[in-house]
Amino acid sequence: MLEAVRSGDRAAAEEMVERTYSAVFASLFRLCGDSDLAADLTQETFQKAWAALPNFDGRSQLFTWLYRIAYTTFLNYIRRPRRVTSLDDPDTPDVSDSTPRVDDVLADREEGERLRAAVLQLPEDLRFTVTAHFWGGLAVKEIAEIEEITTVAIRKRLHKAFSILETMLHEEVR
Amino acid sequence: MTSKRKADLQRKLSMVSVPKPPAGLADRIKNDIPEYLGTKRERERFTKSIAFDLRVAASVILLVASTVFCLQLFMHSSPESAMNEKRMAASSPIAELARADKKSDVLSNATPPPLRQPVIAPNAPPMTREPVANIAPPPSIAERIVLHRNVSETTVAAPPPPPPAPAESAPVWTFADNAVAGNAIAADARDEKKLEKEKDFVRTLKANEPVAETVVVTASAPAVAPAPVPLPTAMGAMTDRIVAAKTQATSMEVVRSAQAADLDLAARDSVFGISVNDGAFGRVKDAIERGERPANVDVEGLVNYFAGPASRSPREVSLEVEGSPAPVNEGERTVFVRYTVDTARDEFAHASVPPIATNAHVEIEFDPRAVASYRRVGGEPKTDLFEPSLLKNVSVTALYAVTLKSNVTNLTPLATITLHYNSVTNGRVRLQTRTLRVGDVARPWARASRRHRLASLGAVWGEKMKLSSPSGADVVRRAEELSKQEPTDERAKELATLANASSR
Repeated sequence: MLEAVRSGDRAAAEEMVERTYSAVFASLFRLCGDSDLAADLTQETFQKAWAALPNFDGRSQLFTWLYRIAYTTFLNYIRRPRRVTSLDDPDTPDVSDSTPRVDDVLADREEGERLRAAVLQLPEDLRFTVTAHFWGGLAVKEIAEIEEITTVAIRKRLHKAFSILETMLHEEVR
Repeated sequence: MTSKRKADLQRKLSMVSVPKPPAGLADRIKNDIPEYLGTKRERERFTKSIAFDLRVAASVILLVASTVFCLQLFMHSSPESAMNEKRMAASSPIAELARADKKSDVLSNATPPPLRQPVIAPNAPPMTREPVANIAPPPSIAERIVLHRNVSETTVAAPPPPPPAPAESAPVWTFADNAVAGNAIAADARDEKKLEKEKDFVRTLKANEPVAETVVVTASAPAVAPAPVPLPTAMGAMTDRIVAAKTQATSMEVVRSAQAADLDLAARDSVFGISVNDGAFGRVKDAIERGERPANVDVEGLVNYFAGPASRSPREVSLEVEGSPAPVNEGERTVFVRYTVDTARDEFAHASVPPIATNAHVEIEFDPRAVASYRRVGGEPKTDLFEPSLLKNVSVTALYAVTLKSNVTNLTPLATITLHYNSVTNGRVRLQTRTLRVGDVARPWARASRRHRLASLGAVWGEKMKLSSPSGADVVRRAEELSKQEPTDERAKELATLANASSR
């Protein structure tokens, strides 16, 4: 399929989008926590992917390559200068369904939000490893190939990241 | 960390629920598929390679041009050229006169230069040289007579003749701007032997007036002497020489000032749109010393003056971030966040300072969980600043006054500052990020770095000056404490002195 896309086959490209866009969207949603933003970033990811397609050597899997682009797109987004800085509290998430209880849903979301914020505060190498593994669904081996280090080193990174996350979450609760 | 906690954390990370992608997202992505999937990139790469070649060519041209410019500048100031200048000056009585015009010690006993020069005035009619009298007068004495006519030499003075006066008093005929030289000559004129020689020479001049007509009206001074009308007397010729010498001296000054102006191109008043004008402090200081309230205070310029350069030169570009409570009114929830961008020092970059980075962006992002409001001290409330070319020897500081929300934990991020730029050294994009947490600004102000204390206290003082209000006892107290703690820091001393003076 990749070769077909590279040769300019539009139908193959559309099929590639159908197969991968929801996974890319899910990864980005976990990273940014906002559905609309994740959709925009997904679109931007694919735009970059089309431009970078001739450089893709095919050594890694297609989704691994796409995840790397999506992650970079997300980082660029959070580093992008913002003209207006809103200092209001973030909007309360709209909860339309009353089962399970609204309080529980809010508590879960709040906990998830805390976890997400803590992950984003990790050092860059740990952050990429954690997000790629848990939110991007990449295997340890794939991450090791991207980072050009051993799988043992990746596991060490994960262990270190857990320790830091544990400390951060514990501090916040206290 | 227990395995149970680890498993719990893994579960939480894995169980983040994800909504379905919005409807139409796939179509949006498909619409973005370019028409020429395989070739577009190649075409772009080709375009980029041409652009790259053009950039390389432009860089080479720029390099060559700047090298030539530097060489010219260097040659102007090199010892060899200075020697040449001296040699030329030694051989030219006009330049000698010009020097004499500027100096007070004109009565040196140096070897006298030849008196006459070939005529080079283009409009002057050809003149025949009269045979010079058998006595060749010592030129230094002649110059003295021309520049400073003494009372005793009224025989050569231009009409109307000056009234007689004692030799010790001021000369009867002299150039107003040669008063110092005149005094020196008058003092020397006590020497009887010299006076005698001068008298002899003046008599000789009077007897051989045409000699003066062969003396130069220099071509380099057309504006001053446009029509080279030969003056009939020795006085007229000598006057021409003096005017020409003065013109030459003036044109040398113009050249020197032009060179100085070129050198000043390197000095910039703002970097990233932040004022780094050193004159800001000087103006405030002058006004306070005159007993006035300073007007139009450039607070940002003051902040940058007091922050000063980095104590150690970074290898390329460094980003320094620090926060502290406000130096005064510590009870309030206002803190100061400072970031400073320092570039590598180049001690040899005098004429033109080379760039160290291009497309430099510095961004500060305040976390709304911790920050209620913020403002940039003395500047526009921008959070992203851009500089197309960052030169060496630059230190630029921005200071933000931030009001914190209540009940925030120490771990809560307060601000994230990001600096990214293209390195001139290797062309790579460099990124530096610093995160400041609430806990980082909780320590006392007195424990902050000297640079931070000077910048923040200077900012508070500058803002008070801007509002035309007295410094306030707390600012004075802080400044004096700082000056005592840092006895070798001149800036701390200046701040203490001026804060004290402006508190009244």
